[in-house]
Amino acid sequence: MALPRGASAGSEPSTDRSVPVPSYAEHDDRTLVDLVCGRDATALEALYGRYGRACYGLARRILTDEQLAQDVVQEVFLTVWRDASRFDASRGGFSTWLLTMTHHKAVDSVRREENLRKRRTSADVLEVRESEAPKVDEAVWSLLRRERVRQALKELPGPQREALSLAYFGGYTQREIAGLTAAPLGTVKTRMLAGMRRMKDSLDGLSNAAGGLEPPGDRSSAERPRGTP
Amino acid sequence: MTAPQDHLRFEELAVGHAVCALEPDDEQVFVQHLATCAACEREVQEHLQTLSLLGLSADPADPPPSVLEGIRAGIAAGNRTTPPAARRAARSQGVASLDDARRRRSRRTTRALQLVGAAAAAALVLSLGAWNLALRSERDASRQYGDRLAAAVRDLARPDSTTVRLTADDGSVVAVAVVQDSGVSLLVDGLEPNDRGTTYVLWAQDRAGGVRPVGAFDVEQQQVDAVDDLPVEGDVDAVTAYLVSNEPGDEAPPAPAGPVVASGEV
Repeated sequence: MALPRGASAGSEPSTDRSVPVPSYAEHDDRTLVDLVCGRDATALEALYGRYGRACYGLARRILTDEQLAQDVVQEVFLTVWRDASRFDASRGGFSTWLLTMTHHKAVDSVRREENLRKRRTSADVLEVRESEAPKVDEAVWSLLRRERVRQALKELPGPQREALSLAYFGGYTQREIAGLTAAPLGTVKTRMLAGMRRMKDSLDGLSNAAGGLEPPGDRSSAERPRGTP
Repeated sequence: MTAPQDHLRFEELAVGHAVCALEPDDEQVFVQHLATCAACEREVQEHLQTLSLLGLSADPADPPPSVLEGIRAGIAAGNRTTPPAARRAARSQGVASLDDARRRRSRRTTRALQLVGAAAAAALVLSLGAWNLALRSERDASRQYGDRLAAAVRDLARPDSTTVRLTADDGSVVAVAVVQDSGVSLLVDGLEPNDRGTTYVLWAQDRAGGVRPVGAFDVEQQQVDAVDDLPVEGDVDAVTAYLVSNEPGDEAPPAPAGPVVASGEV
């Protein structure tokens, strides 16, 4: 069901009881993106409520600097505001697009802030942390999904996990990884391909869910909305 | 058709591309291949989906309220955001005399400048349209180019924007600064691609004659291009002129040191 563009949470409720207007939290990502294309700022805030924590968590993991991570998240959502029409649902879910953008911007930032990486050790990047205790309102699904992904990463052969983690969470190029791990560049490339394919196989059911990140039967939420309008 | 063994090389590059880990030479090779290979296109999308799951393995965290406030402010301010690199460059720079820079210029600066009106906007829209038709099938680099043009055209069309034409010594317009609130977008058409190891720098001159860097940018091809979201520190209304110089290095120096290649008064 499509909402009229420009509808906002603060607007007058519909007087037609036969056509209830869903709240923003009930909209799926694609509907919200359509609303953002129509310059509906409340829809953008709904997406932020849905994914802001995940984006910030990823940016913090890559940057290990809260201020820079906040800059990245802000940039990401302003890019969504400006360029929501660039999202192409035929190429993947919105959450994939958003987290890809977050990752790219965080990697750009970590490469600009070279001193950040000098302060980090490879072990910092490679650490597969245990999940923090879930907050009471955090969806169990999110926790299970996170554990499954971490388990898949843990189960990779060490060199493959090392190469993928240094690239994804450390922002290192393949040549830099070759230097860090004392492996030929070609070997690093081969390890990354093998690791990625193994991860994909391990997570296949997960990535085939709607949008790739959302729990079956719950199309409205990746992370449980917190303060979603 | 690429032999399977040869194609393995691209499959390896596809992972590096998805994870932003390719060296520039590999990236160039892969992007060219990607434009013609549906299998690699699919593979990259699959990698991105897997990587987004990996991204979710990071512990989520509540951003402070200032992030949402910043997003709201960005929307209110015309949907602009400040590129950290440009912001950093501008923050770290002092103020110098524009006269010093102008003395290095061997040519007379054109003073009386007209605002670019609807005709220029229409021409840019047409450029964008032509771009869109011609390059629809190309990937990231082309998309970014289109995004820059689209953003600049949107800025140009805004009623609150002010445009300043920047002219070379022969009087030809080589760039147009589109000024809004606290930022400038620059449309470039006619600047020579800068040499490696150099960069173009946009400067703002204030009423007192001081000049401060707005941001550094590169021109890679001689074509219409745009640099958007360059922040102007301080009072935009106090800026009386903009100029572009070509500087050694890849960041804005404290004061113009290289030749000024274009300028224009507000």
